[in-house]
Amino acid sequence: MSASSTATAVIRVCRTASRPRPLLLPCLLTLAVIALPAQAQRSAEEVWSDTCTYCHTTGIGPELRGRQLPPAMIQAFARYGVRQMPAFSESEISDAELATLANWISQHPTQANEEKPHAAP
Amino acid sequence: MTSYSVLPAGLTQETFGQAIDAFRHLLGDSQVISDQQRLAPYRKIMLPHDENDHAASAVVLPNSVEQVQGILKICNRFKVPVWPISTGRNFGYGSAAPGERGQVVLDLKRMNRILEVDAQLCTALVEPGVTYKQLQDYLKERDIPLWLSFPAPGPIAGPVGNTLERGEGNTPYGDHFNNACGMEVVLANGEVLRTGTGGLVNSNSWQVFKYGFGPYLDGLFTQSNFGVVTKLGLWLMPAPAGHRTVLVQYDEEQLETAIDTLAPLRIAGHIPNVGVMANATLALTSARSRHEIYQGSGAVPQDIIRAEAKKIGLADWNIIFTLYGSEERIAADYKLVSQAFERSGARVIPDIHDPMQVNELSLDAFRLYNWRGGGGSMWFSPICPARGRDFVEQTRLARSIYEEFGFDYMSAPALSGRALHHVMPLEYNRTDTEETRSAHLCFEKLMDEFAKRGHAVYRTGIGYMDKLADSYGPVKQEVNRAIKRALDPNGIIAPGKSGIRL
Ligand SMILES: Cc1cc2nc3c(=O)[nH]c(=O)nc-3n(C[C@H](O)[C@H](O)[C@H](O)COP(=O)(O)OP(=O)(O)OC[C@H]3O[C@@H](n4cnc5c(N)ncnc54)[C@H](O)[C@@H]3O)c2cc1C
Repeated sequence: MSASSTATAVIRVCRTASRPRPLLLPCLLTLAVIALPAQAQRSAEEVWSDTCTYCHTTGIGPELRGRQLPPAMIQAFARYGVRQMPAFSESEISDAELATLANWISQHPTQANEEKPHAAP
Repeated sequence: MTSYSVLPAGLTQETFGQAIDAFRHLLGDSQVISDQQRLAPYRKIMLPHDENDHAASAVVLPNSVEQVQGILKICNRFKVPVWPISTGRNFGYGSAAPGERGQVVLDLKRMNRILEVDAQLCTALVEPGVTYKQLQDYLKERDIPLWLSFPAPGPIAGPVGNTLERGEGNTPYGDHFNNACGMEVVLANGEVLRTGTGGLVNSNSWQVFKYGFGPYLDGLFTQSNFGVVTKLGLWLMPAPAGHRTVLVQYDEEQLETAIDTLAPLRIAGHIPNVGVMANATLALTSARSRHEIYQGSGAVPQDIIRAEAKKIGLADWNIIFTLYGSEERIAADYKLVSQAFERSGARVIPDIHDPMQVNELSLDAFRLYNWRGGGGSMWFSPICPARGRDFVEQTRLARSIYEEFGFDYMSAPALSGRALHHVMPLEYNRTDTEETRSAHLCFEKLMDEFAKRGHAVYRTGIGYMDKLADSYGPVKQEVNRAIKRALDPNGIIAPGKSGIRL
């Protein structure tokens, strides 16, 4: 629910519906065995965009990039959750992924919007 | 010998150690978690309970149906209780923590395969660990024009856990259980049941026809502990040609009229989706935190809420729904609904944006957590007949109880149809012991006072399930128990879930 979000375009034509419909045959009963995160390690960018970005680039949680936060601290916050932040178990973000992510965040250059106040404590 | 600091009720160190060895043998060492540090993520709850009362003794992580069968076999042998979770994001109801101390969490996150998508008949078959984001990415990557309906934590939650709790989203497919078709369930004895037509060898209608032949069983495996669901069929919505989201605003004094205007439009299908309604306090959480507008104690006074809400264009009550389809169809529907609302004295504002109503994943709703801060949050979730006088009664009752305990009454009913899911978050500072105690007392009083007046609650969190089950009467409980005894004679699957145990 985001009652106060700014108004957007009047009637938006959905991206998928406006394209020619794909041939049905190939995707009918698509047997899709998707790579399991537990087995295939995702890059830091992938984990960031799968999970962190929803709160940490929207002002819900603080911006983390460009602050040289200690990787160990980032890992602990993500794994155990702090206050309103949920905990992310190893079945969701593996130890290896979390270590790579924490280094990536820690070394990430300053964001353009870094001076914005943090929404969350 | 390893010493386990948390044990399932009634088990000795030795027996539990044997069970853990058997789990390790079945799953491999790394897929069995029993040391406290690695268990910590499963302890975090937002409810006002002592985390120790919901501490898991271990976590097991299968990646196949056969492994789930094997786990249940071991559980029967050693009388180990397991608490299944799919994505474990049951925020405000218990997150990933088990209902009772010592239960082993059966974390199905590794079973995250999207098994089938039928783009022609608009169905999917997924495993429990699949998240809405994963499914949406899959559809987008393949240009399959199907929409999902998800709860507010959609990016990190998944359709199996949400549907099994009979959760809600905000599209026309927002009643998730109603849009599920076909389950695979591992029973406590290790047998695999496929519901609907799934029992037929090579069934070709498992995801398109719910009922099969004989009793329709799927409901038994929702909000229950009668089996572990390992596959779920979903009906997906064809992407509409277009959409238009509308905000309708009313003042507090118009609340009865608001519901009596809304309900017939929703029941007749002129409003096609499970839209939402938000009172000013809840809507304000999207832009403000409590301490920004009020530093006193107790509930924020109504005049402050009203004034702050007004500043950002929010009213006492804000109804948000969406019209879908072609431009012509939307124009006709808009004319009809806007006239009805305007005639009743509402302010109608077209073309606003609510991601959940238009297949956009976001965690915007988590702004709610910043209102109070401190990580305490739970949902009080009564059902309200979609009648103005009933809704006014519920809001007055709820507000008086919230404010008696010093909390801000927030209301976010889902426009389900003939009923509203009148969900209300109770936000509190979990780092403050006194406030946490008050939150618990407030919640119990809400449960008592609502039950007394015949207001049913549709869902609740760990620690409150026995109490809620009691309110539904002894006969229902006895029937549940009889089914439990028949299907799970050792009571190994989630004892206490929904108040059901042997
Ligand atoms: C801000 C906010 C907004 C929210 N909005 C919504 C909303 O719009 N709609 C809504 O419905 N909820 C909402 N929630 C509540 C909750 O977060 C969601 O319902 C979420 O989808 C539940 O978590 P999950 O999907 O990971 O399920 P899980 O946590 O995996 O499962 C929930 C429960 O179902 C049972 N279960 C799960 N999987 C199985 C299985 N395979 N076999 C047997 N039993 C099983 C278990 O008892 C488990 O504890 C909201 C929460 C927050 C914090």
